[in-house]
Amino acid sequence: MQMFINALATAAILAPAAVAFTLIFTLFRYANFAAGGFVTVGAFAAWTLNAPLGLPLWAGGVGAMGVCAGAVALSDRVVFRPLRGRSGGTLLLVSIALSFVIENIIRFGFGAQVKGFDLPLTGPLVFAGLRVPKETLFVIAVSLVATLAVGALLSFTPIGRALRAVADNPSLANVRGLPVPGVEAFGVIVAGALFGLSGTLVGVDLAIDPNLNWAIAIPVIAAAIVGGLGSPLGAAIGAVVIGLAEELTAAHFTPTYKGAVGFVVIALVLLLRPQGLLGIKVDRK
Amino acid sequence: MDAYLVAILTIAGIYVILALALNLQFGLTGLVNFGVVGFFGLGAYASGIATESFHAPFIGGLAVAMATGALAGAALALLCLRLSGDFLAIVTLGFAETVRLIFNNEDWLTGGPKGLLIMTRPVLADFGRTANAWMVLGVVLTGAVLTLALMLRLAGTPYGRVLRAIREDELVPATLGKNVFVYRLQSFVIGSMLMAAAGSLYAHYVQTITPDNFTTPVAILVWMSVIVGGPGNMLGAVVGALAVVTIYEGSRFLTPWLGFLDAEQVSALRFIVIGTALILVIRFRPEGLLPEPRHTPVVPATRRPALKG
Amino acid sequence: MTLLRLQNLRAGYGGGDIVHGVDLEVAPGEMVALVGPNGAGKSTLLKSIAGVAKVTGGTLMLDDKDLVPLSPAARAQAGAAFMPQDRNVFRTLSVSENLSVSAWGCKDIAQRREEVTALLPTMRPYMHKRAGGLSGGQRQMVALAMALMARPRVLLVDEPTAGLSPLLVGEMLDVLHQLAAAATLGILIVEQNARAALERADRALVLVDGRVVRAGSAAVLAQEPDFGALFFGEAA
Repeated sequence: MQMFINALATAAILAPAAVAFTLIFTLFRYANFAAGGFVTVGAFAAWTLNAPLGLPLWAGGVGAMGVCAGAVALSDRVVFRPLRGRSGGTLLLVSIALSFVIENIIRFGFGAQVKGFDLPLTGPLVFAGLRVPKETLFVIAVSLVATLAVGALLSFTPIGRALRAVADNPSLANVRGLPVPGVEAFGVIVAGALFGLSGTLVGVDLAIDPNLNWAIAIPVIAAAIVGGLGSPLGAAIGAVVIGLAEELTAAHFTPTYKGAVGFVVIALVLLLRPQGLLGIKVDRK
Repeated sequence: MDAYLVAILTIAGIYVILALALNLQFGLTGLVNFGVVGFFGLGAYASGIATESFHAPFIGGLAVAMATGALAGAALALLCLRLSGDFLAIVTLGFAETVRLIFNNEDWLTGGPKGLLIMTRPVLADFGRTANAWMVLGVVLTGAVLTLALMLRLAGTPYGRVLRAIREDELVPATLGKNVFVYRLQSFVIGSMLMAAAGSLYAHYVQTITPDNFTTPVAILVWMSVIVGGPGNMLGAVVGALAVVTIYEGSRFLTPWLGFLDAEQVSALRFIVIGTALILVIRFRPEGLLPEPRHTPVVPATRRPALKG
Repeated sequence: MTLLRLQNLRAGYGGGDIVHGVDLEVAPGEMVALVGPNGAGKSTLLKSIAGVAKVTGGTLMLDDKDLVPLSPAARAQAGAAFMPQDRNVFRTLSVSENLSVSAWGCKDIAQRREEVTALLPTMRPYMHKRAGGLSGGQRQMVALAMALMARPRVLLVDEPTAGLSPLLVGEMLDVLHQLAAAATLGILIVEQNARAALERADRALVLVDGRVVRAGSAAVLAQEPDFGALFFGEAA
């Protein structure tokens, strides 16, 4: 049961970023490996606002979402948009290089030392034989609310419909009068904000350092793939699956191999059921 | 100065082999292999274990490394070669990361994070430091030249043309009766075998290997060599590897100028420059320094209907 | 009063011209059919009005507004709705969502949905179904409804009956004819099924090799003895 709580905590951190990853994939048809980099940006942005600048955590989180939205928008405009016509493999290569650059810019600016948020120490909640740190509950709650909010946005609002339409068929959206560039920009900003949120949540539960990039990129991508690319709900479910898989691996093998779990899951899904749990068959480049 | 030059040339030679191997897989056949360091590391450790724990000579270690690389490459290829470009990249990346985690964890075999000490060197006898260094360089350069010769051969023949055709559009070679999967498999396995060979050379050159030697930055440098040099052009891969190693090592000399930064920052800065350079090259000159040479297109033999007698 | 006017229009996709100087008018309430052999440039002409193909010369006016400098989305806003031949619905959205999203930026989306569903009542049973799960005929209806959501002045329809059974072909063309009359809409339709189109259209143009070889009342054209010959450029 303790394991289940831990898995949920991991899932809560991964879910927003996984949803963001799948959003970018459906809108622009490439796997953006820089997801890890953006989450790291979020973590450090939140930390900068919280520790040296003394703002409360929620302000740090909001700031992180803003900074990440800007970072994703900037990288889309400067790096990815000019390469729109190229193959998925090229775009992935570029996104790997970008994540590498982002990680090292952070390392350059902040050093490699592990950092933590300036949070008041609170004791864990103890019930039913479980010890659950309050931070963990907070992380799970915030993530759940955010994921549901994004889901509602996509399902019930005009802009959410427009986003789904553009993701489905951009040329038809154009012909039907939808402002495609504006909708894409909106999608980019939502994705960026979600990366920022994941980054902030990581900082609450785990440590903040530049190596976060690698550690988080693969579980996030794995969650999105398991859930099915193109389905935000799937991404959220995928996050839970990955969380569970990691906990099980840590329990039955050694914790060192946790990092390999994401890859193994990705390989299995791509081989056995490429569309994941809820995914739609998408034409890829 | 001399010794430093020998060191740089040795490393360059190893990167040349890696770049040529990746160029075969990606440049010619279009396979996005991000598992470069996985095969590199497997070759290094396999060779090291063979020579240290089983007292094989260097040649034995090299052979074991190549066999391991070929087997691992075949296994990985059989599993996931059918995946499209971006997913193949992710899975091969995963392979490299998993292999590295295994190196780290199974310290009974690999020495774990502390590293593996390798005394065996590809030298005839111990003639002293300088002579040894030159000998190792000689072996590495021989390997590089042999690899280049092999690659030029492959690229220039009809075999290379088939690979290129597969890279452009699977359907055409398939309709001409070529088993696309087998060609890709061969390309991948030859490539991974050569990467493992480079690993063996590396291991016996540096003599201490740790899992941290086989991380993503190395993969990025190899990819850079291929992209900057010119994907599909074997000489380009050589030029690219030399250029990348020069820039990477050369940037060390900037350190005194950047005295206001600490070591961590300088290292990060070098990586920023490399990553950015890779993105810029892909954006503005994807054909690289030496574009792919134009070969005569494959013209399917026209079949005349059998003449009725 | 002319709704859509083309004068000496030339168009293509960036290579050479495919349409070599076409004069065409559509008035409100009338259905004009564009017929001709394969490769004549009918679809290209329609797409150039929609903004999907490039106009290289001549004039293109809707209600005395020059359409040439406008993007496809802007032309849609100006009143020229294009219904593509295929991939013309958002497969992952429901029918109702397809309609709503086609009225982007409008304040009265629910009301428009009602209007359009009243015009095409056969859609009611599957309003909440995913558009990708519909049959060919149902999808074409939805695509038509989507084009109507913007309350267009002129409807540009590209081979709406392609792939449909003969019964559905007739139904689709009947619906279009009724729409033109009922909604004072101008309809320009490219149709491979020349006979079926001429039976419902008011006027027609025959396009061969990017040029108009015959234009006039659909009924008169349909009587033409060598109608088939027109398609091969034999009749002058």
